[in-house]
Amino acid sequence: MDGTLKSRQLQDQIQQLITNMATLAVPTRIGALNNTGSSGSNPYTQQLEIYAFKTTDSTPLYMHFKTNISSTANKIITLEAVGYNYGQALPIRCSWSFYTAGGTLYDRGRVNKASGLSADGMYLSSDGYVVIRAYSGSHYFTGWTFNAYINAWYYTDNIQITAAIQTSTSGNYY
Amino acid sequence: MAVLQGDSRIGTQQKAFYRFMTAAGEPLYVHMKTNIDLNYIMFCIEAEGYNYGLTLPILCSWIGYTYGDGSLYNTAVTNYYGGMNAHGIYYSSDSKIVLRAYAGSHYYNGFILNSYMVNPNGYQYRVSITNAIQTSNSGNYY
Repeated sequence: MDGTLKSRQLQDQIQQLITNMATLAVPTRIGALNNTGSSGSNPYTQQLEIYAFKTTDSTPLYMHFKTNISSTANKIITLEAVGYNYGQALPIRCSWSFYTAGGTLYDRGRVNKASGLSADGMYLSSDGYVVIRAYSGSHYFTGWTFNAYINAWYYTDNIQITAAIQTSTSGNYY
Repeated sequence: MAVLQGDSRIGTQQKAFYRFMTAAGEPLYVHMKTNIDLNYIMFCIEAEGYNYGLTLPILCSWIGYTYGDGSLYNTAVTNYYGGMNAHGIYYSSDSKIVLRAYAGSHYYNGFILNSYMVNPNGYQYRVSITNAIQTSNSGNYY
């Protein structure tokens, strides 16, 4: 092992240590730092990087992400994925918009601005929570992160992804 | 410390880690040299902003993967809006990634860069811009 390689490895270790330390120092709820509400009374209308996903496996082709938003929650939300599908050399930028009320999930639109990942669908899990489904022709060394944008009238302060799986199921999984 | 200045929960996103603004309509190219080296790093960087002179929003991206032997794999530039184009990616003479942007005018143009270091290689890498220049050079500058 030459000196240059040792130096680089040391730099990497230091970088990772700094990253870990800094990540621990970041508040778990960042909405207040990203308040877009005009009155200040709805401080969690943007929640950035609520979840990050990465894989080296090109298949299976579907991803299911279960949220903590219930079918009776009365929420209007857009979830956005941003990242890089390395295997396909394509950026990722897609979104799912939905509204839940009275036990029903209303699909209010899915948008695929880039081709690295598709907002494939959404459904309610068997226990009544919103699940979004994503698809790509290959996930080889892909990665993305989710941002959440919440309608100020029906905001929630802590959107979470509670379960996720890469699967061949093109319908409902959870 | 870059993480603390941003707004990231997990450490894969750096929002507004760099800001560029100019009142000069030309030259038409902007080169931004990063700290991304040959150490097998997959990167996704977006520019977001407002080109006042063109009356257009800006959203464009550069993606790629650096390799130890000096290769650059699976690159793409994508332009969502017309305010500025992600024009190219190249290695500087000292083997750092440089992002090249282009607009028909930069008159009172301004944008920020966001990074999404979300892939298995280069995960959570802290990106920074070490040099930037507005120039007429449409090829390599650094």
